[in-house]
Amino acid sequence: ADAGAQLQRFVSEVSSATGRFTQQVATGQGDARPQQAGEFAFQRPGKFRWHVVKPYEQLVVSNGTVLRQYDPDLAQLTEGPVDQSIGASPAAILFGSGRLDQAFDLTPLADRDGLSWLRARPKAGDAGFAHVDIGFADDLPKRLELLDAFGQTTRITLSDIVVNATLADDAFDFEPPPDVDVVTMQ
Amino acid sequence: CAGPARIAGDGTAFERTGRFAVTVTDAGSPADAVQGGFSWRDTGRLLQLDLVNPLGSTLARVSVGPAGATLQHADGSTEQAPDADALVARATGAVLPVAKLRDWLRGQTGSGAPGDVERDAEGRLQSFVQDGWRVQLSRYDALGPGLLRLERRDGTRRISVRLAVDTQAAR
Repeated sequence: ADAGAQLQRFVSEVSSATGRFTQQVATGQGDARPQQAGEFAFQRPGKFRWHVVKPYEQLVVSNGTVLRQYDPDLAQLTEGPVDQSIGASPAAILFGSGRLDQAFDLTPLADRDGLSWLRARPKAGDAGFAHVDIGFADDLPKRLELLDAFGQTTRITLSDIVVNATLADDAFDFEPPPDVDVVTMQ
Repeated sequence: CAGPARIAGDGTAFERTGRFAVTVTDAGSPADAVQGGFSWRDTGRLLQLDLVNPLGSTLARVSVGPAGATLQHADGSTEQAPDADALVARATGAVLPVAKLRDWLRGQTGSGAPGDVERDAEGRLQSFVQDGWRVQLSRYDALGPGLLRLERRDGTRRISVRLAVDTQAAR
């Protein structure tokens, strides 16, 4: 089935999910930054958790109103309102529930690597990335390839996806350990 | 990964990736903080600093050369300035002493005599004061410190900069 139909079914039928991801940035000059691996979870609308575990720990989590970013090495937690920029980010595609064709131009691409692909190009100019290609199988996103404005590609693979799992109420909140600088942004 | 990558014709490049957090607190006003990733490539002559969001896409690129600094935004617009520090502050609100970091990231102090210098058991710079910054370096690997903590006070304003570098062990 073409990717567009799979995306619509994913947005309408999968209200929550958990899984694992890997993430790697290939810079234009051929060398790649260290691959990151971690766990993700989301619950529509707008709640998501993106937890890098290796090679270091970093957590980005939104409960729909407050977006928190925690880095234990830096001993800092930044929390602030979820602003519109989330609307045009890859997170919005996977975890949001708004009508995607409002924020993105969606065009089908040829099948490859056993997945059916589509390209999502943000309509807003300041989204910070040129486009993100999403590869689907079984009505689930399995790969994202995000091209940023500097020609660098972030490749994300999603695996072990469990759909419509019941998640704990505080799955998208976060309490930092004691010695962490908490900075609240207006 | 192997030692610093060699860029054709530019000699050995000092390359680092990692994450930074900058917090500016001032009496009576709300704290302002910026957090993100960075990719640093310094050939000695040219420095390219990419400021990156958690998903890895580049938000802005600062290029510093003998003629000055250029900032390129994600939307393609560019800005010039004599030095990178002002540019980075304008781009991200983050006060980053980019010029001095070219030395500090290598575990060195470069020009300008530092004060209150303390070294660790292996003689590496551990803390010092330079250009108004109190600098603490730790978690060294072969290339330099893996954790840099910088603090600065300007009157009631306190600026805290932390850099966590993806050190060799972490790759």
